Amino acid sequence: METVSPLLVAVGAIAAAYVAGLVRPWLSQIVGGVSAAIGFALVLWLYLTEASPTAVPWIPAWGVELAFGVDGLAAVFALVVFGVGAAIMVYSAGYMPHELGEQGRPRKAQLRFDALMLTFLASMVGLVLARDLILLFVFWDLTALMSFFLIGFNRGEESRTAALMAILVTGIGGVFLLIAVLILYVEVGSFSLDESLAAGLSDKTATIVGALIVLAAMAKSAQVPFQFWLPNAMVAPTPVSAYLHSSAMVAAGIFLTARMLPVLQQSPLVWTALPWIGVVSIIVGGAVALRSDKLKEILAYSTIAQYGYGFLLLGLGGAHGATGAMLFIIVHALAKATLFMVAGAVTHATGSKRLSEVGGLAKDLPHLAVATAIAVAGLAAIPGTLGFFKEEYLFDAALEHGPLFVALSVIAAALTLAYLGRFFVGIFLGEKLRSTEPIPPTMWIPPLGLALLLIVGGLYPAPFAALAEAGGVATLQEALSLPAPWYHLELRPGYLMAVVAWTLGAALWFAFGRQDRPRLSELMTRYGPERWHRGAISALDYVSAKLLFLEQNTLRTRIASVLVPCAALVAIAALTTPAEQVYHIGEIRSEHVPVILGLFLAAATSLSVTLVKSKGHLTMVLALTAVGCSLAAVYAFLGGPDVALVAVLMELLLTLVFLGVLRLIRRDVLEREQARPETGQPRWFLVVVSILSGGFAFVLAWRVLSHPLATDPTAGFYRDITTALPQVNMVASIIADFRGLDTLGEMTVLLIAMLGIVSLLRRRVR
Amino acid sequence: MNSVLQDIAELLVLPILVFAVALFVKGGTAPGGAFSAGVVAGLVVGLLHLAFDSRVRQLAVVRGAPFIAAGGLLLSIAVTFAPVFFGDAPATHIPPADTQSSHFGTLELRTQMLFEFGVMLAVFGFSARVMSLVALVEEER
Repeated sequence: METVSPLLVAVGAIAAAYVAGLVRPWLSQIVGGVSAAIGFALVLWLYLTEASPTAVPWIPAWGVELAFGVDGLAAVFALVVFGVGAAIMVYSAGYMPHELGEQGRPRKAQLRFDALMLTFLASMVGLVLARDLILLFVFWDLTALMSFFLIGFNRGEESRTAALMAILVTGIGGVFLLIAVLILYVEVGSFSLDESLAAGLSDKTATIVGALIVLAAMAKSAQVPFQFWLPNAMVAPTPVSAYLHSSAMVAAGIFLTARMLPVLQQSPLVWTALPWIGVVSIIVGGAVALRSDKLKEILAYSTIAQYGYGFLLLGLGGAHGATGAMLFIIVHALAKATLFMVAGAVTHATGSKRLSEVGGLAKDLPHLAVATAIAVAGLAAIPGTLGFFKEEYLFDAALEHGPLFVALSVIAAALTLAYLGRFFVGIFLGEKLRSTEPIPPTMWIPPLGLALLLIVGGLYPAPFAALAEAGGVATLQEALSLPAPWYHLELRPGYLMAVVAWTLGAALWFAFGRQDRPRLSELMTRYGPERWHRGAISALDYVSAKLLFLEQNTLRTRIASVLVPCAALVAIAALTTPAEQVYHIGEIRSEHVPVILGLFLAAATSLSVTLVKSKGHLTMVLALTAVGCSLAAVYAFLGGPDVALVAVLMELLLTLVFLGVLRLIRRDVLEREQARPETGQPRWFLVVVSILSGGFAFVLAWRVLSHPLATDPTAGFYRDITTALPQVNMVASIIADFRGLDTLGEMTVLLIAMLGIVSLLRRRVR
Repeated sequence: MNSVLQDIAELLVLPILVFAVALFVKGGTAPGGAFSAGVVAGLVVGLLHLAFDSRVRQLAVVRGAPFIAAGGLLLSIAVTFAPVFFGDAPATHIPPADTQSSHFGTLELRTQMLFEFGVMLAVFGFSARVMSLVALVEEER
């Protein structure tokens, strides 16, 4: 039970923060930040006490459970998510009021923002704690959904396009994940994570499953060629970029890869390809980041490159690779969140979003300068920061794999230094180009705090390394023993590689980072995979527009285009199935005669109403009601008084609503429609369609009612199990117990319908 | 004519509501049940709108109809998923289906009754809200 608690805290935080925000607007961030801190402490405690996972059956028929557990991997990610989340909540307290004020939106919008951020936090926590594959998939898609709402939080066409792009790419990745989970289930027979990871898979299954999982992870972590959604997602408010798109959501791709690593290792093809995916992203991301001008765009491409690091580390494998990947996640989350918060603060202070427009801010914004310097040092692996050790793990892992990877990892480190150094120098050094406004403390304390953690880690890496190692153990599912990282005053190959990397990085920066040539990012947008995405969307738009054009214009032909194919299909079915015992004419007893007469009356009325030349809308509605009530009479015939009662009542309700809505249409419009001659289709067409539609409904109803449900095997099953109970109320036991989830679904549909009606009519009622 | 309608409507409110409750309570052993009870109760609101003018809007039950609907859904969700927190599968009821329960007349006191109550509230809220909306939009003209 205890291992669910972080998730419960996160979910509770959503409601608590919203309610608190209704009382006082600034309370919601405080409640959110405090809850995140509580969650952090909870996860730490659960990890240190090695709490055992809890599981509750969810869908017993499929063996799906609500299973949550805190192992090393979950601990690393959950601590990052909670910790950075707490800092971001504080930061958004300072950032969002200004941003909302600029857009002219009310303070209430901030409540919605906080609730969305906390919902995202809860979904991430659920994702990393899940120990059931279906549960994992559900949370995976939840994070994508939250990202959609958060990216689209700012109004405008750009935000909408970016949000749609993000959810399409990550959502398609989610579908890949689901397919992989299902294939795995077929082979392993269980959705449980432990069993799936321990199973031995055939080569073919492992390759397909592994490839699908890696594709899903690549889409989520914005690796090439799925990287284009991330730079576009930068239109979101800065707290969103700092949290989702640097530390949390894109980290989910690495998390998935690490979680499913035992499966991936069973496929030689996927296993060999994994580090190369990382390499390509590192180089592409790094190259574009080196040349970009917009602050957040630099950081976005840097994120793409850095997560390439993660895939590289996981792909290189072994103790160094897995542990290095975990440590990298921690360092990157701390550093990148800091950098994004700094970017947001700089924009707030100067009003500019571009690197070329800012400079020399070190004097005015000293806290931010220090935070940025530390964060850059952390990512570039300067000694004294925690980042230094992550690079050591990378170099040690690369050394195990030969000279090619050694060279590649040196280049990767060089690129990192180059584009991040340019970021720092471009903002804080050099000559001052713009005047600055002061920024509130809530905007510089969180980034400085996170950055200082990097220094703490640099001087005392043991706890971070232990955590990373636990994550590595959970990833590889085997025990590791690595020496504790520390500074060694000797010439190790890793140190040599680091020095080469720094020199090369400085060279790259001077060579490429300072010239004025067409921005690589624009070239990427115009010719890269984003072009295919936009092309696919416009092709879909084109097809749907064509279909709309094909569709008939009048209501009559639109309905006919549905009814006639229906009739044709029913006719085919009726003609091709053996007809004995199917169309059953029951015996007519004397007590039935009055009801039969009543039904004939209803039928005759409907018929005559429809044949009359000038039909009022009112009569049509009443004719429909008559048909509905005659169906209720049939139910009564079949011995279902409950159903008949509900049918009559719902019919009554709907007629009242129908008539009421009819009343809302202006009387002259109604009269005009009534008097309109029947244009368009020739008479014979209408007659044929009517006879066909009426005929198919008649045949269908006859056939269905010839076999009342009493003889249906499913109905028989329920009748048997309910009559075996001592309980008298069989209906309640079916509605509330055996099919309870069905009823819940139906009620939800009812409420959604109500919301739809309200929103349609609300515009007229103030 | 209008005042006659109003008087009759006023008189009918309570009997109809009692009838709705009766449908709900008898729902196990006779035709009735949560859905029918909810719609009949909602029809009371429709009747009030037919007979009276926009003053009906002030009634608490009319203003609160959407919240009643949402509350009913939440009640049913809570009853269904509460067992999960105690380690059982969803929709596990107390007392368990194959044992006897205490009775109140013909009404069996089980958590299924709570669930059905939630259904009734949801259906009532839906019917009342929809009819109110139609009536109130008409009023605005």
